[in-house]
Amino acid sequence: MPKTSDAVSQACSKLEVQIRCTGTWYDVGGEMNTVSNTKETRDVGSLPVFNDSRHVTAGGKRPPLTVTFSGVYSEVVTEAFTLMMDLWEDAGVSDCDKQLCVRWTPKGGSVGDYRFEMTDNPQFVGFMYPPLDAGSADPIGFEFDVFGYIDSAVIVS
Amino acid sequence: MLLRARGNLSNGIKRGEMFTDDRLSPSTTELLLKRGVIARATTPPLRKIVQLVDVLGVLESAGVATLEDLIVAKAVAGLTAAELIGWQSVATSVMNVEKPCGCRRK
Repeated sequence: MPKTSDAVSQACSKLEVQIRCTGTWYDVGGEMNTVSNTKETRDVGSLPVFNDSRHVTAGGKRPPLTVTFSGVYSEVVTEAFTLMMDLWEDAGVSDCDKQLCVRWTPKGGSVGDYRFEMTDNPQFVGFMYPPLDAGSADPIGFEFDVFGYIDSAVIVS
Repeated sequence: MLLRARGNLSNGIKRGEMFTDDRLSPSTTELLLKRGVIARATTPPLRKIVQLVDVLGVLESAGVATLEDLIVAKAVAGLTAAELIGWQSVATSVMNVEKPCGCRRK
């Protein structure tokens, strides 16, 4: 097989968030710079038995995973840090229902591109207030975490 | 045109689902066909479908030969609009066999 001609740069992706998984999708690509997810896995188990040197194995379900999103601290109300902080601190939102939908498109979001989205009641489980370092000239960063599943879809409009 | 999704689509069409091309714009249909995200659905002759036996004569007289012909038909001689919608619904359900969740053994 010839080598692929469809490799995708990581640098020009699109990232959007939807607070409480309802209403406006905010394009936060101007502030965010990293999506750090781990492999989705399946539970498996094994037990040894007396008559064989190998375990008996079994397969199970796919547990949810935590995805970490990193970006730049800013104080604009429609930008990522403030949107996340408002949701994190919002006393009107039950702690049992802090949903946060996030979706990202590696190729940038055109029709035909794959889009990955956190689904199945994705929960906002981690928020980092701005850390500081007097020895750094970099912009201040921050992170937030979402716990849920990732589904894929091809953008059609 | 009758199409089948090979992957989930952002308008809610799920992997494996069959749909008519009016769910997508012509340019999107062309692009997704080219990329293999969707494919033309092949459908069996109506005679193979036991759920349609009661209406088979009417459909064949009207020149409707396959499930695709029935599903995309705007009108069929001998059927009212409501009847046509009802039979199209039957035809669609025949093609969209519910995919098992894979969460338990049969």
